[in-house]
Amino acid sequence: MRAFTIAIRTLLLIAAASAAFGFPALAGEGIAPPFARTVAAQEDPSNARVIIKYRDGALTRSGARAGSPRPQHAAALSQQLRLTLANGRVLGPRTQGLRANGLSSTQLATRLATHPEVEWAVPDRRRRIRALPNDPYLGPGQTTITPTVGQWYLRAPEGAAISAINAVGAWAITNGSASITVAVLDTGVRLDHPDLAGKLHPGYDFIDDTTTANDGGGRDADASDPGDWNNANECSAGEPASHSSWHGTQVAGLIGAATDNGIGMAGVGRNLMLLPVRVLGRCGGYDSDIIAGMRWAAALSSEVGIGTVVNLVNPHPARVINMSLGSSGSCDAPYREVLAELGAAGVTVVVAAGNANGLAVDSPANCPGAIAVAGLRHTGTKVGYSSLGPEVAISAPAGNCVNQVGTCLYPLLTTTNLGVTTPGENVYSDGSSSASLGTSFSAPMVAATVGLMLSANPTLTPAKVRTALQSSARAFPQDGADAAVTACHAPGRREQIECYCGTSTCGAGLLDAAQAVAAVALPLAIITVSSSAAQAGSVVQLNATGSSALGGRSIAAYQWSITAGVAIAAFSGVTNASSATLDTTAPGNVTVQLSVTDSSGAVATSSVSITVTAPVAVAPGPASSSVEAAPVAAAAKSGGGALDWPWLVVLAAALVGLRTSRRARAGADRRPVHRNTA
Amino acid sequence: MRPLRPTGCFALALALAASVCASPATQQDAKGRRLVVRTAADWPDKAAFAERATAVAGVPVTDVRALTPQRFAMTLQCEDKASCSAALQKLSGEPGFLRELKAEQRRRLPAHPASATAR
Repeated sequence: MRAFTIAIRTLLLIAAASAAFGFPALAGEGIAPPFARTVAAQEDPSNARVIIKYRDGALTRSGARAGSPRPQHAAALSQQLRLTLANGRVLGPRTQGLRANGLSSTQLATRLATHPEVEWAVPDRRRRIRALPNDPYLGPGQTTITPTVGQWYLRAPEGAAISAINAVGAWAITNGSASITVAVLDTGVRLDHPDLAGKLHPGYDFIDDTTTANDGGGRDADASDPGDWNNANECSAGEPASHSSWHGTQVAGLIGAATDNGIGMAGVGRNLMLLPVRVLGRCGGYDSDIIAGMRWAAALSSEVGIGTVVNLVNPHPARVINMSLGSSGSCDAPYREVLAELGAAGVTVVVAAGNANGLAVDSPANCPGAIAVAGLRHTGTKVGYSSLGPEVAISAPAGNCVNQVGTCLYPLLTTTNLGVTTPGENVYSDGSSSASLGTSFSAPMVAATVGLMLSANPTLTPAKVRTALQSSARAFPQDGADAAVTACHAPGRREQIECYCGTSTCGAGLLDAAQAVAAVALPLAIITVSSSAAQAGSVVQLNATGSSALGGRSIAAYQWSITAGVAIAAFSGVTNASSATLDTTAPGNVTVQLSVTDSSGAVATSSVSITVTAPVAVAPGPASSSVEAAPVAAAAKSGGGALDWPWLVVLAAALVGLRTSRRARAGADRRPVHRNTA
Repeated sequence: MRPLRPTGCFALALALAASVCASPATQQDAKGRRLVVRTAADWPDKAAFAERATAVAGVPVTDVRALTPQRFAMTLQCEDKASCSAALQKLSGEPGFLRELKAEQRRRLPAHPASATAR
């Protein structure tokens, strides 16, 4: 009951303070990572755990060895700070864990950070591994749908699934930003597929020929896929009839199916948004429609009309364009031009290499500036049907069956539709005869990975994207396949079925989404501040040691600056170290910015706001705290209107009650907990 | 860029016309013959471009789509092979107007793999 009372009082205090001052009442307000790699558990308000580093030579006055390699200084600090501290784990020279009861980790860290012998103190937070998304087809052991391996291609390479791209590893860095749009230039998308709900920006149908469009009209704002079935000999002499492919829906699902929504599948790009741009219909589509769609997707053009000028601005410009289409032949000038234009505009274009059984790469995949993607078996060899050649930038799983009859074992499960001609039920492709196979489905994995890379570092240019994709790729396996499998060679007139890839035939290597994202991710700039509210004339300690870099890089430089409030605060020491000291001189708001540069030169910034209040004469009495009392007084004086006298009475009562309860809990053998008044 | 000499113009015209007429991929759909052209100068006005192209080709030029200020897709509304060939010859013979003239290509979805190659 007593604990419950304390909790209620504490909550009342925190809620009142938060409502009054408009800043987060709970701990960690100075820490603002751009994205979290782990999930931090909620802070315990009365069991503090911190990590502390002492200054070199510290605590000599209290008898401890200077710079002790095994610091255990809880007793000395307890004496000086009038806190009851317990030694925790030794973490390194001058660094140790400390524990205390009766206050939160952030409160303890804040108090310790102001001690002159402490270099820094940060909360020792509990971290949990981010749980896998709850999409049921993601995991292995599927029983209700073939393939039993589920979305094998998203997981880390394991066993025979050497070419799996480790999207799961990439998600530990970023889930993808909804501000990054990937355009799907394809047959349109089944907009009503439940696993694409909320993931589609309004697109456009660029098909002007009504026969090709198959939807009763020419260009219009409806990018849905009405079906692209054709009759025998309709597309070319001797070409058999075919069912609707729902190709764009399959591509869209691989890139950005709604993830962690409890249904169906996960998309490689998770939170990325999709822009459906319909350029292919019955018997394919024309270059002019495709090129117009590319330029509109990137917002390089708003013109969508035929003959007359009709403008429709794309409000969601794509940073990535996926094109799982092509035909044999060399790269035509119009594609060269538009790819150069898109590259200059910062748009990365990913194109499927083609399914020509080891012949040359299709066009426009063979155009300069396109990231051409070849297809792999699950074991990492080139899958028989994939095209190859020196134009290929990288390879990714394309789906393969192992069996030539019966269930397909390693297809790429994705969103699709059951309609033979017109749309039917929205479903997922499986291991049946309509399994998703082809370089059409390798390209979306690369496109989505590029979207994740841009989420982690929006400043990347298409050239840097290509370099990072290639440098982070895993090496192709050179053994392990059947004895008849040989090395791939330059494409000629003869088909090449399964073969061992090399860098001159299948690009730089196997796509590794986790490594690709880690290779470009910006460092984390994390500020820990001794107090987000201080009295004029006091000192605020700022610390950046929680900052970190990814991909094997390290933090190479720190830079502190004041971006607002230069008239009322100034740094009193160096501004290029991992910590800084801010001297405040007058009331107002100060914003401090931290820039961290990692060893690759990537820069990240973070800011923290500090409220400086007028000095207030604190009446003698128990439990005074400049950190908490000063803003109360300042708000009352400033006429903010958030706190009037009844609230002050409640706050005072809560403070007294809290202190009484803590004393009771501390017991006779413990010193009372005091607030820092520095 | 140097001006083309008359012999060069003739050669270009022949080559362009031959490539378009002989190409198996030349597209003739229900609305006519689809072409992609590059102009010698910028044409910011689609309608003006269509008017000039019609005058040069001697047959209606419709469905003009600007890909860039110097790159257009268009459809020749010629009734038969002979009239199409004649229109193409006329367009190819005006290098001061058109620098490139190609039949518009269709792109397809990559073919669905056969089971033998999808092992």
